[in-house]
Amino acid sequence: MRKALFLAFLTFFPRPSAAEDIIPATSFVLDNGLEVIAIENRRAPVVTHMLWYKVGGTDDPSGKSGLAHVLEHMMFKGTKKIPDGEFSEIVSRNGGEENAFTGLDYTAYYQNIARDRLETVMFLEADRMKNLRLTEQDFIPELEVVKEERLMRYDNRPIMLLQERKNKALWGDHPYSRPVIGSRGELNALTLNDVKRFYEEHYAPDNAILIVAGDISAEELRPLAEKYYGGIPPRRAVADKRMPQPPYPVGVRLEMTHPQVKVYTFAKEYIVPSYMSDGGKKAPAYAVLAEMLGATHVGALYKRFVVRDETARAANAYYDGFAPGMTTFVVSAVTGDADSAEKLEKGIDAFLSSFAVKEKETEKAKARLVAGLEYVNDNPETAANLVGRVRVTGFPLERLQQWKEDISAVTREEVAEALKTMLTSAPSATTVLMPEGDAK
Amino acid sequence: MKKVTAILFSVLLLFPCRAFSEPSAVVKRPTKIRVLRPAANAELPKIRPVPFNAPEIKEFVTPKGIKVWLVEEKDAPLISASVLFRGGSASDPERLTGLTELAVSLLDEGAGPYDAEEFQEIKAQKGIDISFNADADSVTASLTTLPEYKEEAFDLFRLSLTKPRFDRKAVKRVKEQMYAVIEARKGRPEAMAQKRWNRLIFKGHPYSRILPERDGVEAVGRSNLKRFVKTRFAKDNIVVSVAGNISEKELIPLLDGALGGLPEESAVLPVPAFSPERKAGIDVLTMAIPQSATIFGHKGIARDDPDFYSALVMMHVFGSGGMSSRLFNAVREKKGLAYSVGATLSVRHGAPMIIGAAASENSKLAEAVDVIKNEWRKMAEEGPTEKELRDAKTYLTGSFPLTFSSTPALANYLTRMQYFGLPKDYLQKRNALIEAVTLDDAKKTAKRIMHPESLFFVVVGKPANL
Repeated sequence: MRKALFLAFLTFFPRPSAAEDIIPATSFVLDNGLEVIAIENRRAPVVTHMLWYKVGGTDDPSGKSGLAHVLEHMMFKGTKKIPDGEFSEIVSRNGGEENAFTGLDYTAYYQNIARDRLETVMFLEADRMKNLRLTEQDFIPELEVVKEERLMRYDNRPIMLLQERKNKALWGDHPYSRPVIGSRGELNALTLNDVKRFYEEHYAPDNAILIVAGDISAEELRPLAEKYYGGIPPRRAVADKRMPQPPYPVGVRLEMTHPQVKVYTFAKEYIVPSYMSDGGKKAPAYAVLAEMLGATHVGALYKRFVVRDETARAANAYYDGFAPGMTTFVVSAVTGDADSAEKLEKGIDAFLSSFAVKEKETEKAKARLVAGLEYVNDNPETAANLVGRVRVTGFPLERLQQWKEDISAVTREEVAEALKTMLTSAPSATTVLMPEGDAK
Repeated sequence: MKKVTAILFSVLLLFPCRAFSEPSAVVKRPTKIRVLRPAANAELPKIRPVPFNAPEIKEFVTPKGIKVWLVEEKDAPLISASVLFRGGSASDPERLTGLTELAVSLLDEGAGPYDAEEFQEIKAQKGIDISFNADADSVTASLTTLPEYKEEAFDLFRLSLTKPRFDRKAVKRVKEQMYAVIEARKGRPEAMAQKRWNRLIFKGHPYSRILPERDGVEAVGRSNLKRFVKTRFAKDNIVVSVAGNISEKELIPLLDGALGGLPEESAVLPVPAFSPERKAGIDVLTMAIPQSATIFGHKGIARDDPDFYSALVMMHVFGSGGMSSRLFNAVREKKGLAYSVGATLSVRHGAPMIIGAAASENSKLAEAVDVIKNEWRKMAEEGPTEKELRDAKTYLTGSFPLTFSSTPALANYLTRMQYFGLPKDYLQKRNALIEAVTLDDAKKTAKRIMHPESLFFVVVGKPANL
């Protein structure tokens, strides 16, 4: 279901009839501060059990980028109760599918499993929140694994190397400037002690959100959550996440040539408000703007540059509103030849600055955004992902439930204003990735 | 292939840490949870197993002659249809490689009264998801919709399968997009390894050229595209499955409306069976990158072979069991030689294979290759252990209910069942087939299908000391 999930995130989420909740989610908080959310979906006797920690690449100490992600890998090693390597074997033997991922602002672990095995994974997940046993013997090869992951995702992929440089330039000394995967030099320098300290500082029930979606109600979940997670003491010292100020507005431009690159990729990225900045007032307008400009086939950029001008092979806009502080709005395009690449960059700049936000297009974009919102309730994993992603950035569940109304309320003027603000005063980065031999 | 634009933008922002990519996912899951033995660790919660009853499949034939498998689910918020046509890119004429991919990418670029933009806008306004995918042996059309828009959705489905317009502008645009994808692939080690693998393993067979080339795409004209639709989509090569919130009564007119007008007979170039016989070896395609990507394997076992289930269980132990497989443990957990490593059964009709993939830093690849070879030999000689076999079986049986938690995935699963000629009570029988595999079976099958002496590697990168 990766595709459906990705789609859900791109278009934000999928839909219901007015006055009804988007997602049948119920939340409560344990005495130790753990937030628990049940999402009921009775179609199959399965659940997605997912634990989100409010910690990610942003929290890597200075000079130690990659630490949050390395800890995620180490979480699959042993505890006092579960010997090395047994965690995944137990999950697998019980028919469970599992994985984990680390983002800038969160780290999440999940298992999809038959309902009658839920307690097994609750036991395991709670156990590794508190009792992880970190040893040199596990750490040394695992750091090599992470370096291989970096090679695969970054060093073998020029576009990711360019992203890494762009984030540095765009975000300055904000922690978003650092790669979640870790910079090469800093990864090499990480120690087992770094991992231990990070684990002790950040992994605690009052810094986490537990989501169980599927064949379960909140009433059924509460005693299980108490039983397995309720006894873990809170950290208390977990500080409220304070997001640093966004960088002073800059406009940077980076060009990169690389022998592996065969087509031209052009992107403009702007730092804009998220659902959590300014009370989230601006975010819905940016969501509508991204849909209006960026939707494949029907977005303004695609219609202009791919269909009409035929200078681009793809053109897109993307806005991820779920961040605890500022976030980014990205416009990008791909083309095959040097001439088009040059035209495209100028063309997109001119197009955006003269873009007239029309009433009819605004309404169409709003309708597209909320159409199919119901898709999120098809598969428990999709719903768990969305709710986790939203809650871990601090966005209230009630606000998510009325997201459709927030989108419907967006006016043409607000979209125009969002665009104008973004183009005139947001920090921005322009990147051009091109084949070797085309450097100017 | 998915819409080309999606490929051009496939940049992942997250880091799913434990996943590994399977070169061709084929492993299917079975039925009915069995009572588990008490867990090795006494502290683990006791499980009170609840029997799982897989849903019944309803089979019927519509008045216009379309055979359908339906799993109706009143609780589901969606309806999904999965329609497969036998015959894919391996049936493209040699001078037109890319025909299938191009045609399939154009099916939602304008059809009937709608141009590309109108067609897409209607879909988007109602949240209807229609997509087309092609592989070497089939074309799959998938539809997912909310129940309230089912009429519109099935009508768009009909238009795209029977009346695609292939407007000149759209053809030109999608061709340009394909050229960009073809170019971009040249810089991607995994894609190049796949291409090289196809070339070498399937030399002289249509499977060797299923990844399109620019020449082949250029040569495709509108008449080829129109002929493609007339000859590839018919009632004699179709497989239809539907899942979700719809009854048989509601579905019949929608399906007959959408598919009833298809021609009775298809005309698809047959693809000959092929048994790749190679000596063990390593082929290196040099690319100046820090990490080498490799694909490895040899011929495999057919889906309808009597030993298939013991092969499935054995392969789970060996390479397709994610984080608990032998390859994962030997290559990654113990030695840190790769992030991604695994192997699986590829049950492509006429050319079943065992295929694995891995990627290691250039100086470590040689060692990873040795470890893989060694594991291959060990499995062939000794087979799995009693414990490994038991754990693989409880995974394969216990994970089966997960198949039923997504409407599109379920429709697709039903279609795969039909494609492989499985009976509709397979959902009820599958777990027993897995359960029936004995240690002796698994060992014999390992010896029969794992051939270290013909294990062949394709490597893309700058590996040292190979």
